[in-house]
Amino acid sequence: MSERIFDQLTNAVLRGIQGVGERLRPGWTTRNKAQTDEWRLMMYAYNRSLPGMIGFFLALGFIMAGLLGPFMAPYKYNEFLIVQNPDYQLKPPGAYGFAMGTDFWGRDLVSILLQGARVSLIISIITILWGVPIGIILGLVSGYKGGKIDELIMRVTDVFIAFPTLVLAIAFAIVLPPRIVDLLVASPHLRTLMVWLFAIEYRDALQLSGILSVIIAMIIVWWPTYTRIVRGSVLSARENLFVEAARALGVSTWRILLKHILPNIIGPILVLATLDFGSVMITEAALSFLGLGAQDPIPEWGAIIYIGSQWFPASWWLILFPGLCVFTAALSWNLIGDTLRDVLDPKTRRSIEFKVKEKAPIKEEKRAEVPVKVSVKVPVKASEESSEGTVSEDAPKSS
Amino acid sequence: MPQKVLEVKDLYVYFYTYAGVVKALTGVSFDVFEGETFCLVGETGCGKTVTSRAITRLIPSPGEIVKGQILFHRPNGEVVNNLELPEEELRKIRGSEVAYIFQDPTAALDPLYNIGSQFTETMLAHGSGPKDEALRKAVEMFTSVRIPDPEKLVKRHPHELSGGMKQRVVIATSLSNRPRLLIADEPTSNVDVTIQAQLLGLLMGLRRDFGMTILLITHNMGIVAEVGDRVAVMYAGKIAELAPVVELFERPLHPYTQGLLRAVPNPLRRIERLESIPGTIPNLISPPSGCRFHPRCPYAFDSCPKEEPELIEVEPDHYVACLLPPLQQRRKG
Amino acid sequence: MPETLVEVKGLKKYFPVKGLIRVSGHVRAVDGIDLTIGERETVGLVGESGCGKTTAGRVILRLLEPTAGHVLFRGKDIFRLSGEELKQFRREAQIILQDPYTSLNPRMNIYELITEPLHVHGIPFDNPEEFVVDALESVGLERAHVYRYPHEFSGGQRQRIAILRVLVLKPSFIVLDEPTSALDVSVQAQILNILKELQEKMGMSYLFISHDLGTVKHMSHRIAVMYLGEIVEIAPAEVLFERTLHPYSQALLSAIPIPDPGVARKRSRLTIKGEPPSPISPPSGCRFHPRCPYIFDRCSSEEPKLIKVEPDHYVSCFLHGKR
Repeated sequence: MSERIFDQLTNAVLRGIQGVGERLRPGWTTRNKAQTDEWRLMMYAYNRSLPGMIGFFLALGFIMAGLLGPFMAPYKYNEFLIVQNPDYQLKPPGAYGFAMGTDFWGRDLVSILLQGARVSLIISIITILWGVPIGIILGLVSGYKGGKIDELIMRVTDVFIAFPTLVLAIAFAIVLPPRIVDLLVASPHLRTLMVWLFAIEYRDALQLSGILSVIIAMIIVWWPTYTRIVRGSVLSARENLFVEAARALGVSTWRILLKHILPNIIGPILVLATLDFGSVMITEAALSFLGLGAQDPIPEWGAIIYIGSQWFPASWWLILFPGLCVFTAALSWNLIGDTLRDVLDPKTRRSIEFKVKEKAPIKEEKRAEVPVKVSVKVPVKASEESSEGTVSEDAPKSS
Repeated sequence: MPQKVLEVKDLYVYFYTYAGVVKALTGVSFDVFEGETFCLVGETGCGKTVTSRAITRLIPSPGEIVKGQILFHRPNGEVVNNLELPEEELRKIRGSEVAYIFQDPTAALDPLYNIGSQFTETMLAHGSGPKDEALRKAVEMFTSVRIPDPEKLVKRHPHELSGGMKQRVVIATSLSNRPRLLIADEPTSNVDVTIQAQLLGLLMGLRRDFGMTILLITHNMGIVAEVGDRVAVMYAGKIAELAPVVELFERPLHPYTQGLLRAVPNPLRRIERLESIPGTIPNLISPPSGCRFHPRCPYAFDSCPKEEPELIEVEPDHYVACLLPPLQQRRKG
Repeated sequence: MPETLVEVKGLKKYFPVKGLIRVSGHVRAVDGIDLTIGERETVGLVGESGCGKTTAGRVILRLLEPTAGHVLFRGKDIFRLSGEELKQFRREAQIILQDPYTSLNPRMNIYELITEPLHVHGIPFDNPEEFVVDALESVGLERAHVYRYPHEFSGGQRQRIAILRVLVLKPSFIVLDEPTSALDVSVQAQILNILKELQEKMGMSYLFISHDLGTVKHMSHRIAVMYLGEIVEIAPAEVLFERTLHPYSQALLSAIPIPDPGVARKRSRLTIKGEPPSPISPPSGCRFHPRCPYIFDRCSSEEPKLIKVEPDHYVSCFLHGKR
């Protein structure tokens, strides 16, 4: 059963984490046992979802390609082989040993795709890493404080949401590049950092201005959605009794937001961020396709499609292969996101989890190892809650 | 000799969940006689609600009635086992011969339709006459549950009514087909104490006027004392004690019943300290062996974890499920 | 005569009812109440839903801002406090909420839950883990429970944890908002016993809010009965039950189901008709008059005030004049 293998792997990963935690702070394991058990349950549930596992491995492949691609590619992204042999221009797959063909400048498509993976990975990471937290913070403040601040933030958010993502991104992507170029020229440290991140050569650094503009454009376009969602969640979460209890104890607003409200609403946000990883990839590929993002010679999947479109249908491979890459990568994040959604919600988690055991014969006294208390949700009694695995006191201390 | 209306024999209900098999009911048996108010009392998880649902097979998945008989004496004289009836027949019983009232009347009323149409829907479903006839009946019924201005009420929507009113509407609807047995599951837990007094008074009056039998589920011993004729105390899926109400309060025999009665503050008496029952309610996936109450029982001895006590009659109509020797010796018959 | 710890004077709390554009009226949740709570005393606040007792409890702790009136804690008006003094008040005056299933953050384990109040108020302690273990054991929980999460505990256990959270601050005044209503009967007794013991050991005062007169009587020294935002009767617990004066109090008492069939069936009931009216537009004059069985002319036009009828026993009803 492949599920068992994955479960073993999960256990190994969790043990590894425990080991690291223990090394850093002794006693970590006991303090976080309940948390670790919860993760284990979630990962077991995840292991049982076929789409989830497919997504996981595809994404893993994408990340590996992104990290190692630039070092594994047979040719460099700026090796314009056309210089060596003019015949290498626009060759279909198979010719001269180029597995996926070449582009206008004779660059090997396989190599460019591998490099492009890194570029896509970095762009997505930076966008999500900045866009989501900004959105969350604004949403927290807006939802919790209410009143004028809420009104202000919401109106600004409305303005941004009213614009179609692509249109707004295009606007920024047109306006920003010259300023980014100035910035890059002025700061060699920034250039070095970008060069290292994107695995390109120093002399091509200024060509990154297009990509950086696209990133900034996407960050600006992306945060409003999170603000809206977080605000909605906060509005209902702040009515929780434990929030009131925390206020009564004198807990400060920031602590309430970070410790009491955020952890309880993070589920859907996490799912959305995962799904958005894929959306960001598609958006930036689209922008590149329109000629806005990556500038030559920076390899980027959308840009390659742009090149290929100019000689379509003769250069079909320049469209098909990058297209498949974008599609597969985006799909993988969607699959993961969907499965995460099912796994994070305790109720839907059960539907993918353990199968029902065979019907027990009557009067069988089977003792489970860990006493688990489950109050069954039988219709209608208002004061009952269904609780998860519990340890209850079975026997009182007898004197 | 009063007639029996319901006989529950050896009922077992299990829930097959992802965490294990929850043995909600294991061998529940009791009889309900005509015209009486029979109370099922117990705390959370004791199985009283499951029992009430099982009577007309309203147990949702993953629950299943695995064993037992539920003999219902129909108004036409027939005695049927609800667990073996075909669905069509059972549907005829549900709603007309056996009616339910639940804790939350809001859940029973559709917010989109006005009261009148909901009432007539029930009646028409069970084959009563044309619509205006049914509406007239509605007004009649609402009057009998002492709703002021019943003609205006039929046009109102559920959200315009208070909790107490809604409950009266639900009661009226349930009684519209003159059921033989009314099962009331915590009907007053959601309302204030003064409204509760009104509703209980109403129910008792209606029972008299309509000649009904009531099966009342509650966790409140006070209500049992006020309106009950006979009572069964349930614990962890079994009946611990069954007796006439007066008898139970004067001479509770089961240690759990005794503990329960001592834990309830009686406002008319001065008590220094409430006696609590140590421990917590057991989990029903792996209940304690033998007598399920033994881990919390002050009188537990060596047989208790080994043997499951059966419900035995120790005095006329007074049954206990306990292994204590004095009780076993008084066993009759 | 215990020293007064909390003094409530003319407290009002109205909630605006928002129409589409403007405010169309006010829900008069608390409409002028006076109350004193002494040191080591438990005052019960009893009434049915909508009477304003829950709101009153919140305003008394300044969890809600009042519409009018004063609450003096150790002589100082809490609504004028700020900064350090306000924080000090928060340390001393606490609340235990009704539903233990939702009053504990499901994402925090017991250790975090119990140490949080201490962090917030900057109270140092040497060995936090031992401290938490001691606290748990003092209410019948175990060492093994320290790092568990709330959902692994039963209702009674959770309520004990909620009590501990509040206790670590060593408050002198706790508002208990229906602390046992969501619990089973046998567990209720456990919690009430713990609360009583703690009061004796630590000398705290309680404001015990509940709709269950039985438990209120068991716990309180004095009881105040509320109806539609006002206090209609206050008396020592025993006295309220033996010499119930206000018709509403009488109805409330006779409506409680008595767990004693002999008594229950013999006593005469005073059932009042109708339902509680809306707190947005309360009846004129005495608010109880539409449902009162003893109504006479004055009742619908004049509002009665709380009058002392015997030591410590006040009623707001025209049937009872000054003595």
